[in-house]
Amino acid sequence: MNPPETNDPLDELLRVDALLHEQNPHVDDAGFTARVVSALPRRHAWFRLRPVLLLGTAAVGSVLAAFWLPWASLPALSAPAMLSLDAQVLWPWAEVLLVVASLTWAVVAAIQAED
Amino acid sequence: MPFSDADLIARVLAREDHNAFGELVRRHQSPVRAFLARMARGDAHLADDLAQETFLKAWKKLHTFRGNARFSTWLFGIAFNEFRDFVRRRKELALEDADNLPNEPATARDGLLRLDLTEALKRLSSNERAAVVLCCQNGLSHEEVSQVLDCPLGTVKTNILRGKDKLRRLLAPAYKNYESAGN
Repeated sequence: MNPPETNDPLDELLRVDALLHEQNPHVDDAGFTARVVSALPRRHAWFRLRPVLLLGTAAVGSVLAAFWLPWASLPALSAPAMLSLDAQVLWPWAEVLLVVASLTWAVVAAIQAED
Repeated sequence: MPFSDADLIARVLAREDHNAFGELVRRHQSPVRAFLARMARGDAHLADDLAQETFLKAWKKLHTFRGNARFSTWLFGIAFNEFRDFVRRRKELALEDADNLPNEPATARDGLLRLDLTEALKRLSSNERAAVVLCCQNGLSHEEVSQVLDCPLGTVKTNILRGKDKLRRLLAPAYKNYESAGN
């Protein structure tokens, strides 16, 4: 690199920049990559199993919900019943909605994990 | 035709392909290790330890790489975090106060300006050093440096300006020797 022609601070600054560009040596690998690759842990175990676990859980949950939830004894939903905020009417429906929402979330998460 | 970084990343994510990740390491090890060596003030062993941790973390977190930045930028971010965590663990941040510049500037050694630059860089605070090295040496834009260091753009610009200003002051005698040696 040529020394600067002037003592202008800007010249000096540019020279430092240029020096910094020059000082970008290539660092020899010297076995570094091999060391890193040999130290790699298993990364995907959970990510591979995740969709399977989620879908399996959703399937089992659906079967249990189909048998155990009180489908036959669910109170009829009507606007007056909902507006009355009667716990005897709303609570069973809230339980059903919660279960269905959980199962839906599990299926969606499983599909996203597959992507 | 060589695979792009994106191709290699896709192979790693889909098949846990060690060879593909090895190729990514081979491509990026040099700038990452050089950057960490600068940050570690020339301690090559420490730099390599931190670089290995950087790549292992990249392996674990690769699924979080969204591709909206260059892979190298993402790696520099992990590397800087590794360095920062190391410094935090060693409680050395207090020693890196920007005001701790020595009263005597670095002396020129027979015109060896590059050695003086290396010494001068060691005297910057870690944030200034990282910003100057990433921007001026590794060619990252201010926005990319801001991503890597996880700090506002204005702070990056300030750190670069302040770092260059200190370098200029520290290197002033070296320039004089360099010029007189050339005459």
